[in-house]
Amino acid sequence: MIRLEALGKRFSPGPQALQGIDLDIDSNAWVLISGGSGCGKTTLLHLIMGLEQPTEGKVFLQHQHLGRLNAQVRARLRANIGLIFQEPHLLQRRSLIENVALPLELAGQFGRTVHQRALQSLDLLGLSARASALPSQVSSSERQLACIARALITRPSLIVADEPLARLDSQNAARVSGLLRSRHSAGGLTIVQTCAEDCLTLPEATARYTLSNGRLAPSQPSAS
Amino acid sequence: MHAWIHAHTTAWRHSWGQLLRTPWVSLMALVIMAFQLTLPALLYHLQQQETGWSLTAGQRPHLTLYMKLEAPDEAIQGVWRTLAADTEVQSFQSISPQEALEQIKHLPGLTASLQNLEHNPLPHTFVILPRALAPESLMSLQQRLLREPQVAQVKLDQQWAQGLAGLLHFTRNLSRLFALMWLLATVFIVFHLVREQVQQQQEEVRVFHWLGASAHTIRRPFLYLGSLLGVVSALMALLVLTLLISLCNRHTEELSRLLDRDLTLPALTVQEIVLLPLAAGLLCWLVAWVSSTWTINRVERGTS
Repeated sequence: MIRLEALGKRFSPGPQALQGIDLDIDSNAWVLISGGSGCGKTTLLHLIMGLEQPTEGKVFLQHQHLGRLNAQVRARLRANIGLIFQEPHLLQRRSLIENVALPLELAGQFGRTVHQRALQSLDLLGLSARASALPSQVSSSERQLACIARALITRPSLIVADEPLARLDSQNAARVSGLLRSRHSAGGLTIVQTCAEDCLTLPEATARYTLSNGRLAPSQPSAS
Repeated sequence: MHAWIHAHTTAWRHSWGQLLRTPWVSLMALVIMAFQLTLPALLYHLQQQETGWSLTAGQRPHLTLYMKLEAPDEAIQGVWRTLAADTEVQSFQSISPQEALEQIKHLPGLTASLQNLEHNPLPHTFVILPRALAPESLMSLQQRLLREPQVAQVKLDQQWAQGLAGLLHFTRNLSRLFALMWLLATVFIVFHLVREQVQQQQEEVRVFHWLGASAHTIRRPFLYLGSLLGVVSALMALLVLTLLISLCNRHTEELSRLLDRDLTLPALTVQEIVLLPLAAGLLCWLVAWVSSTWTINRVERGTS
């Protein structure tokens, strides 16, 4: 599903954010990457999604070398990935349900079916009552839940999640974890998730890594 | 097909939204663009129409055709028929040698001299008023008439033709200069407005980019915004022009009567009404394309 070969990223001007990263992620894997703040987790995910170009090495996504693809093809690949960011990025002039329906709209779908699917997606996260609210009218936690609903609506085969639970209270974090777990156990879903240093306890994770000083190293589950 | 229509109507709605969210800025930009466009459009309009205004440099031109002295009546009749049938000729006057001589006799000082002539030295003459006033048309008519049998000479009022050509050339250059100024102003205004809109919506642009929207999808509302600015400002310019023409015509009635010349400005043609918004819309679309592509790339790279 994803292969990283000697991947490196240096911001100019700035330090070497990532270096020498080799990683193979198979289909149906659930990969956890932990690390401290500013260690390069988000940059790594951006490279995997083709949002940034590496300064060294290669990224293969679904057997395609991202560096050789034009922006249009990279965008098409990205449309099939469920993206969850650390910050809840929503369109401020659209209601939550319109935000959640956006990936389907971009795929050329619209109408009642899309509305129903968006509502179901919101319902899974307990947000159906706030469907018509604008992002500015709901809490930060609800905005993050809406982003997660948006990532799940297309039933993607790959979810890239950048600390998805960081902004959620324990109840909502448990709800999101449960949802990801059930989707993953149903099969056909690969998850690449970053988290803070102490989050490697997730039993479903098939591989755990720690990112430190720009280098990725395998890690053992930490005791909870 | 439905998805295509949906995507485009959404982009249109979005573009109108962009205009209406900052009504004063949009209105100011539109007014400036419209006034910038009015002058070159007026000059272009006048240049395309043969009005009394284009004749103010001198009298209406005419051609004088002289037959050879020995030209038989059949040849004169032939030229008469040719002139009557020529669509480029508005009217003509046939002057026989006798009529010409009679006219000359009335000129002071010539009566005595003419009485000593043994025979009439004047040829048969035609004075021709052409329909078209463009110098090229007049030259072409002159050349055509010269090819008629027994025609000795066709004189064109060269000075008038050159004067008109010069005036038209000047107007054309002036119109091009104003058009260039409008073009530059439009490029700057539209480029700036579109850039502003992209920057104001950079969060949305980023979200669309992350979710895998194509560059076309992200750019579309901004391109429509550019086209809208062009079309609406052109429509406003047409409105201003119509008012201007109507106002001018109200005041030129008396002047037309005094100068015995029709100084009425013609109304805008359908071609002009269609062409102006189309051309302005297309130009602004192109500028919006450059501006949005440049700014969106910066936003996506996070350097904006």
